[in-house]
Amino acid sequence: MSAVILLSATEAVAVAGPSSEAPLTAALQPVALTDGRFILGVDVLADPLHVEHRALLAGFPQTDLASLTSVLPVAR
Amino acid sequence: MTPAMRLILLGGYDADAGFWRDAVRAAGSDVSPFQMGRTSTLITSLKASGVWFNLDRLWLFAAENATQALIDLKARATATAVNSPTFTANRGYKGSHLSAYINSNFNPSTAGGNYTQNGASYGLWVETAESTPSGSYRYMGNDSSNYSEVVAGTSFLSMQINQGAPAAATTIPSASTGLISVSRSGATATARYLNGALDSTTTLASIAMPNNNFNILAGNNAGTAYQQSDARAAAAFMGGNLTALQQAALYAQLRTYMTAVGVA
Repeated sequence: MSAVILLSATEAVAVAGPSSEAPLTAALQPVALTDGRFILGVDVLADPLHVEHRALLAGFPQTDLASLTSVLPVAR
Repeated sequence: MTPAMRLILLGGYDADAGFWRDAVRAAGSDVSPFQMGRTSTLITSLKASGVWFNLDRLWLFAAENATQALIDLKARATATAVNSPTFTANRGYKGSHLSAYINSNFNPSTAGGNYTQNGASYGLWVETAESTPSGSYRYMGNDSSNYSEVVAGTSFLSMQINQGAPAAATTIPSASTGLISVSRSGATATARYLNGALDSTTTLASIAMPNNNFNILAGNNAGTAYQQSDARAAAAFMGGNLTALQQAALYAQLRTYMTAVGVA
């Protein structure tokens, strides 16, 4: 599975939205877990279009997606 | 600029290819003569087969750069790369499980295009299939109360369009690559295709079009992206109904483009 960054609801709001580098073509939209936390793939840390959030995101905890199975968004 | 001057400067390229290059340049990037040739050839052939006029959007993600990839050929509309999907030149965009995907920004209910309740189609060119087909990941979707989605099931793909309930799975293996597409030709007629060849049909009744954006490499549940896939998409389209002949033509013409850029 994939490594992801864990965010609180407040942190998710802080980083969500269009990239200031490319507002029309790049955005961050953290994915809600069922326990109130949010996740983003670690690939965002290397994306120059999201450099404005890199330092903040790099300080958040990371985990493997497999460890979150019980709180992943419910499949329809 | 006069039309004649434009033709001279474009070197005989299709006019829509020229408008697309203009859009790419306006966004700060460029298009090589090789890519212009490939794109112009594709558009010309799509016009000859009649497919072009039924399309609302056509993105070539297997492009030279991300700017080209995110500007569609038909309307020159821009898609949004959400949560950093990985772009690889001449291959496409790769999503990630439950995170990265492409928002097409195409909402059938507000676009006023060819895509209608009883005459619609969409699809994507899968360059690399979903790594963990299980029914938990979407190749494409716009599906709150309206089921319009392609699901990478455990063994086979499931595909639906403008319907109120899911359809039985196709016989298309989940590991398939190439053009995966679905059409609705009437109130009770849908057809699912792999590489331009008819796989199966359904008689499931249509319901009102979804009022959300189509996501690529993800579903869209009432405006929230979900079940993002780690597949890699080389192209995607939406439009009005494509007949079986037009589906075959679209595949053949995209196949020519994909071969030219090195997509297997």
